[in-house]
Amino acid sequence: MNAYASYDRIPASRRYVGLCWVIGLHALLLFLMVSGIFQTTVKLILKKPLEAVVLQEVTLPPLTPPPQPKPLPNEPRPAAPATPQTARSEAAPAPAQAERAPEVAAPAAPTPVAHAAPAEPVHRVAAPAPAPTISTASAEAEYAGRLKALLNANKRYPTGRQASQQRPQGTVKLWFSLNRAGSLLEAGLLEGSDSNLLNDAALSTVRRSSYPPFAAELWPGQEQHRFTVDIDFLPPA
Amino acid sequence: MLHLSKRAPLALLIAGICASPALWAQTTDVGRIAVDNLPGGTGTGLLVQEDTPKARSSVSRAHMDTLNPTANPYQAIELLPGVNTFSQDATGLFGGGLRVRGANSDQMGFTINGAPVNDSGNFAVYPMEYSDTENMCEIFVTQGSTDTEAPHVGASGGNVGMTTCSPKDKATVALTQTLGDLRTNRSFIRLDTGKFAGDSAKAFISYSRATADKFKGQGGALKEHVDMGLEFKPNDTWFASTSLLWNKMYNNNIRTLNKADIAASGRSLDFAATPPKHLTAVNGTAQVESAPAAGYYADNINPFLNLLWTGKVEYKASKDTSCSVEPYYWYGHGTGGSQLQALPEAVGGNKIGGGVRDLNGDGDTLDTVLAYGSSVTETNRPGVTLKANTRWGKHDILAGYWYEQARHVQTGPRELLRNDGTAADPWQFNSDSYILQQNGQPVMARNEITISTASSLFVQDSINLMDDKLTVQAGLRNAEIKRDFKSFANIGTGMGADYAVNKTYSKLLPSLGLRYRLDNEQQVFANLAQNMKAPGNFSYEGLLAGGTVVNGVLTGFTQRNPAMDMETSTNLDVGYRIARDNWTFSGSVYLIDFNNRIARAYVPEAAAYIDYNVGNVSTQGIEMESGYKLSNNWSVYGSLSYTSSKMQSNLRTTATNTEPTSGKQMPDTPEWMSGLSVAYKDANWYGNVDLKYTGAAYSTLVNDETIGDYAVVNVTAGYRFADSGFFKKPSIQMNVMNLFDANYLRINSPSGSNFTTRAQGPGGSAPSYYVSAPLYLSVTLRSEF
Repeated sequence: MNAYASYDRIPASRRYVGLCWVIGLHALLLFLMVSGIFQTTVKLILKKPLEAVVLQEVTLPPLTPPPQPKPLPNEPRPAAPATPQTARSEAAPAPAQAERAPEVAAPAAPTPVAHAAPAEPVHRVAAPAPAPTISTASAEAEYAGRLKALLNANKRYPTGRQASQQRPQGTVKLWFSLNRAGSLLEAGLLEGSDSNLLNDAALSTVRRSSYPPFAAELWPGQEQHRFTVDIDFLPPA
Repeated sequence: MLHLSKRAPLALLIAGICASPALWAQTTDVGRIAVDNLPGGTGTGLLVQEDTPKARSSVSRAHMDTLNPTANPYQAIELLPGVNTFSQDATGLFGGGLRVRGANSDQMGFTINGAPVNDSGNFAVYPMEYSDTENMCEIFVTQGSTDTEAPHVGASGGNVGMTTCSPKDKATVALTQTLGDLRTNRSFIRLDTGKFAGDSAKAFISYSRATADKFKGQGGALKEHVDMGLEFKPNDTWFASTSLLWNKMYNNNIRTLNKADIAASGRSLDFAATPPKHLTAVNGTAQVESAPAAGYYADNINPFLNLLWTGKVEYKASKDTSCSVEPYYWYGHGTGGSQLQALPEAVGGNKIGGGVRDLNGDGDTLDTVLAYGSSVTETNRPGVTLKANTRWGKHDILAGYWYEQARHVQTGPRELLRNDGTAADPWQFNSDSYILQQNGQPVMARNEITISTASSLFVQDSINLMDDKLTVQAGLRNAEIKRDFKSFANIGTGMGADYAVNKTYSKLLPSLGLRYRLDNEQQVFANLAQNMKAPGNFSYEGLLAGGTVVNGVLTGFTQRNPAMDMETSTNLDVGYRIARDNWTFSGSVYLIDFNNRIARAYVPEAAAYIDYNVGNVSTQGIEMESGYKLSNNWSVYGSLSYTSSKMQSNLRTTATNTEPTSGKQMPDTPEWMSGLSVAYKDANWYGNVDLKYTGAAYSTLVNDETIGDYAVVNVTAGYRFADSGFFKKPSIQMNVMNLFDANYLRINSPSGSNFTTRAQGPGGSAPSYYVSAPLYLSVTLRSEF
């Protein structure tokens, strides 16, 4: 052993100063995380009201068939037009939720688009029997709102070398079906973006989420229900 | 059958239309969600919700916006886990050093928009050349393992990628003006065309000019930078983009000091402010000049000119298949180091090239005269990457080929030093100013051309299994570099005659990554990857021994083989991540096994110190980073790194002496580091306080000298005004660097694993350090029009 090997070693005290520093720093972070402030925030976020998903509308099918699996050749068409009042009846958010609204205005929540202006009224038709009662309709809207909140919580911009270099931007429209237990049966793209990274990230968002079961009044008689969602991707600012 | 119009409102509800409820008659639109901003506590811009099966960190614009606009990319990533970096000064205009998990910047692969920017000869990185902060959108660091498709043959320690921002959709003019301490003055202008050509194209151009004084001694930095970008998307199947970077820099070096220098003369010791004087020329007597120990600031410069063009054409053959061609061209010309060189006039057949002439004009050739000259490098480096990406069932396959040929001309010409201590052509662009030998050739301290032909054939398959719960990413690349080196007779040691070296380094590098989602918030990942780094071309210098010079030509010499082989590393990461509404965390433990580490050592066969493979280094560590959103206004980020990097063998330093390096921590590799950033943002005010703690480290291989630990605090505070008249988004920002004026030392960034063996005892030499840059303040005004 060379005599000089131990010269000027980092003294133990010095090492521990550093160690204490970093541990202290992270203890502080941990404290902030579990502190009241943070928990309050978490609570607010978790109990985030179920979005402004308020409009129920009934839409006539378009003339061009969408690229869906298993199209129904002999699907009965709805006939009777809806009364506008029924179609636009808004499911008022529960007051309790409204009180917690400020936290919802977090930047993560997308700005509600101009949903108040419905698509061409011509397409609006009444729901044939069994017509949903307002409470069913609002329960279903509420469920859709919960899905939206879940997807919002699980959405991710793609990462990795390709994503970092391409920084893709675009909208992915996709569909997914749930059974009554809330299990994801299938998911697919309705309209993909130009970027496969975004298409994958969108599908991944749907597949990553776990969904609540349908309450009895939701889509009665249906074994499964199909949903669509549009996901707009912008690279991290 | 039902279809929902794109503009359909939220929660469209259709019930009971179909008689058969189990079928696809029922569709409910959940609405539209946006993946934007900085979710999950990533508001500081210092982390993202990472999903890749390997350790990876990145910073985004939100953080870049808060930096002092003169900052370089090293400063942008200083808080990330595993990153050990420093800047030579507060502005960042002079460059600095970087290590990640103990690997030096020249052991990491750097890209800008996909094009490699490490020096093609020695893999060195010059961060101050690469960007204007306003144009940089993302910088990512892959710690420990080099991405399969990355264009590198010198990256044994991971890679760093920089992506410039796309041109803006709207036509804008943006101006930034920064004034600060050290007479910092930086002006930046960027013009965006907005979309044109039927919304299919957009472009930008920017120019900046920055000047600042050194914080000690005389001199400063001048940097001019141009960035251009153009994107063209005529239809859904074609996409083309091009970018151009031009950078011209003229910097005075900041003097590094050893501990004895600091003890004797203080930290502010720098190069001399007065030029060395030529001795009075007297015929018949020898005037022997030598470079003064304190140098001269004007002859310690680093002028460099760089150009990088990158292009990309992407063709989407189908929904699932796309391919791209990504060419680039890098040009660099410059010099660095100390330019004061003593040059003997000696003339005769026993001198290389017959020797030089009478330089001081006294009629004799007995003198040694101070001349101007250092290593001049000119690189022309075209390359291209071809890539194809296809989806096939659960497979996402990326395959491609990278090829480049760098022509690297390195010379060491000499120019006459004028009486004011400067040279007529400090860039040494013009060969007319070179001092000639008797044979008519310029006198050179080195004179070589290296043609480095590098390529990589790669394939990567990402397989999504178990409904995306499990991703398996398997990659394979064959990295190869062929060095054709020619050295022409010059006065450098061991290079007295023409000789050539041809070497090829090639290695098949596999990688395997796994990412498993425990639930919608948590995931675990593991990654195993092999990396390689070819030796720098400097290992072919000075290979000649013996011989005599006859009629100006060296004869009877022997040429030894270069001693170095490539170094390889194997990196294993195992990590855990969680991404919640307010909280993002990523942590990993890693193990790196470095083989054939390249370092300077004694090679008995050559009886000399040369760069050589000196054995293995085993590194283990922990990296964690986490971001919390405390409220809509407050975000906090923290990172923590622990690195234990131990040499596995003793180092032979002379024919009879072996140094006890086995079990010692690698120098310049602190065990502990931590970063902390607290950021505030509201409609008008924004700001952040950043703290980086860097633990104590050793500066010699035998660990007999230490660098103390230190913490640096930087503060940003800004205010965004409402639009007013022509001014859009006007803002004012203040940056304070090293708020508490911390005193610290950073080792003069050596190449790779190349360190001083010992500071004390026989054969010891004192390591030199950059001293900390003091408290610095700048103010920046920004506006768009």
